[in-house]
Amino acid sequence: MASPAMVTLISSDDARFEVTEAAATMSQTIRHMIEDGCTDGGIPLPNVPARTLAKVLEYCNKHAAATAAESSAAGGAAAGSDSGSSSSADSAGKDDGVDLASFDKAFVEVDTDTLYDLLLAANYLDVKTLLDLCCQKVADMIRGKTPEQIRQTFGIKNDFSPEEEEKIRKENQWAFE
Amino acid sequence: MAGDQRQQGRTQVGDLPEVCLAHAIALTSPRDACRCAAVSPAFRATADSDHVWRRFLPPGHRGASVSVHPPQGQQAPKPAGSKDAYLRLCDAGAAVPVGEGSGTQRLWLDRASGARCYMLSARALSLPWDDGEFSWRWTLHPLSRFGDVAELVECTSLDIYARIPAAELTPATTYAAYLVYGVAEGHRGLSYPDQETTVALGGARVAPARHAVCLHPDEAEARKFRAVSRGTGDEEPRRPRLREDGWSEMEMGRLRTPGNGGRQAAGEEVVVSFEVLGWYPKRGLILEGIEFRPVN
Repeated sequence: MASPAMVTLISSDDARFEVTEAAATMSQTIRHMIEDGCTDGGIPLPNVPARTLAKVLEYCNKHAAATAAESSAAGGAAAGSDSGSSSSADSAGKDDGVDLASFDKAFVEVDTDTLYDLLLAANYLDVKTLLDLCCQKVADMIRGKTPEQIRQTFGIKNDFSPEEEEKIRKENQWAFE
Repeated sequence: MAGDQRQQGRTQVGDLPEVCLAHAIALTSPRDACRCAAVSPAFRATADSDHVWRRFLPPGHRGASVSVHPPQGQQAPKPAGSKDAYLRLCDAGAAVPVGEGSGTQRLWLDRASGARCYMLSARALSLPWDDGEFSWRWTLHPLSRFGDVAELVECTSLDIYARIPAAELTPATTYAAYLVYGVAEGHRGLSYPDQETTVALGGARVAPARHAVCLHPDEAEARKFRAVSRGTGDEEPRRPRLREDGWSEMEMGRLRTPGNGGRQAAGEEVVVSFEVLGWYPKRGLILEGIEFRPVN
């Protein structure tokens, strides 16, 4: 098999990342750029700093590899002719499911600043599964908390006047009982 | 202030695109979304948005707040907000008729969680008609939210069943089923000791747990039955609870609905039953229906 196609991504602070096309195209934004032939000299991502891009690519590499393992397992089982690697791929695919879930869980165990940066990057790069993962993490951080606890968790300043806040609490009285 | 000490250029929650925050809040619950509305003005704008509340509406009700294209030159009418639509669906008293069979089934939402609640009217239940037309009579009732209720005229063997497709209930939620009823003047036999309820998901693969209940606890009447009761074990019979709407309710049991992932749930039914084991004559039970609500 030929070595996989590689692309170069350039962060907002000019760091260069070599990744497989399979990993890079988990981003719909990058996929469209490649389809439009804008890859010469690397793909500039002016909204994503190196620190965040490295983290996003860690996610994409892991998931692209899992997808490849899964499809080669499925393809091997169907065609029955693929060389060597497919013999144990079926059980490997199942392990990957468990492995991916725990990878995902650990991946978003980060401070809120990093989580926001990941959200912004996932939104800009249009990596849907990563965006969903980050939003679920934010949801888990909100769930069951009082407004004051939510402010503390996310470092939000309360710019309601006491009267406004009281009015909103009254309107939604049932949610505070 | 903590906010003033923040480094310039650090990402904050306020920098997130509104659609991301809305997506996150929509993954919480209606109660959490309302609490978010009290966090800050920016949070409130997102937490009250249609994007969030449409997600809490049952699939068949999501189109309700979409306005049609107005004729040219006219302003589009302001669509009713999804949050308002949601809160209207939470009013059990104004629950909307659903399904076939002309309003024998009503749907509303549990306000805090958004879980679907159902009431099956007496017409939707399976009642014993062993004694033919002398078993039950259909009658109007001032407290009923249905066209009529079933009043027990006379029977010896009393067993009541109801079934609902598991897919109608909200996934991954713990529900309780309740028998909703009243007791008429001249009732008889409703404190009989051997009363049981069951709640089961799916076929009879596993025998469902049976619960001892007593629809009308009455020491004086129960004393008469001591000699004939075969007893249902050591379990103290469950007692009824008086509802705000004037009916009594008896918890029949609980079940956990399968998660969204479980495809084997297709076609599966929840089956609930109430049964009095003895052959003592019974009369005067007024059946409003059977209700399914999430347990919080």
